[in-house]
Amino acid sequence: MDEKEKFNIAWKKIKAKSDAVFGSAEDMTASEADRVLEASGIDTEELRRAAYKRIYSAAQTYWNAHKELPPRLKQALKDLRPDDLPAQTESEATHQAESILDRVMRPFTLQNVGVISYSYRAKKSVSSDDQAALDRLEEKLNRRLRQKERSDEQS
Amino acid sequence: MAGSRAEDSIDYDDLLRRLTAQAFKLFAIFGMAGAACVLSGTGMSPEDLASQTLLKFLTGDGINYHSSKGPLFPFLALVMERDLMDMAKRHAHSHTEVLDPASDGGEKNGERKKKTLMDFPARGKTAEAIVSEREFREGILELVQDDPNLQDVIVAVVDLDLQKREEIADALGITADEVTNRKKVLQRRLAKSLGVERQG
Repeated sequence: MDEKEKFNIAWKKIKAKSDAVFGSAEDMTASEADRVLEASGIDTEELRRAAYKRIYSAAQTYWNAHKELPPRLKQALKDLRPDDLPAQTESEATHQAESILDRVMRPFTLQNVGVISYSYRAKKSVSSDDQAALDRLEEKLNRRLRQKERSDEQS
Repeated sequence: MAGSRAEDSIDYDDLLRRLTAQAFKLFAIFGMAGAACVLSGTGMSPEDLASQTLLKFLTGDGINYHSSKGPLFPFLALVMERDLMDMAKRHAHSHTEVLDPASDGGEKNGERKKKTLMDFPARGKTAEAIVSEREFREGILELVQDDPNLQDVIVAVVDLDLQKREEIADALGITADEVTNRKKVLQRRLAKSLGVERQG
């Protein structure tokens, strides 16, 4: 057995035990991820900014080559764009304004949106895709609520 | 169509956070076996690994995902794990040359060649040391030395080789939900230990 095989076998063993002790990737929900990042001392805004920088740099290679951006890259650039960067196009400005409004309005809308999500959940006609989207939304809202509670406690 | 519809609803902010948290976990597991919070020999941090994986997915570079392959996050987590393993293996197998102090140090035409850092490669750990089960066990037990309940979970998994939640619950006489709660506490302790190491 060569070194590579030995390594793979040993890693699989450790990984199985580690998943049993700490939970597997499937257990890494958005709220759990936030707790892990908080425990690690990660500034999530900084994390987002650094990732955006990296994605932007990758996008530049497409722009320089006059190639169209892959759709996922384009979407991620929009989603992860820091709010304090000046908008370069009208649609960017609109997206940024919506994000800022979303953040400002968050404390006033969270509770209501949560209720809508739960009553929608009771419908039997919800497809699995819709249900997955609702679950993600619920998790995201809960996370924002917790963040809000934490920042309220700190202030 | 279902695939593209599912992709329309990808929350990249969430995906980035989850990948980074998962990367921290992977690094910490390596850390158990003595590696640092930056993968030595590569300078790569958990944040770098997560954003690199995300970027590969965004550009399609080496990642061919379709919804038929299952949920996106576990798929990307596996890609990330394989990349980390490959880097760790490369580091473990990197050639280490010990220079003979009595040698001429590359003297050429009577002129001594100036040594650079590349002439003094770091001695990497062996592959076995990186994934040593003994070091992994010692590392996680050290994390929970103040909490017998958490120690019980580790002993059940590492020593008794129990992996299913229900098996661990049976062995410890607790509920499966309690096992999940303890796992979450363990996961955060793991992350915290790496955070402390980074700040230190």
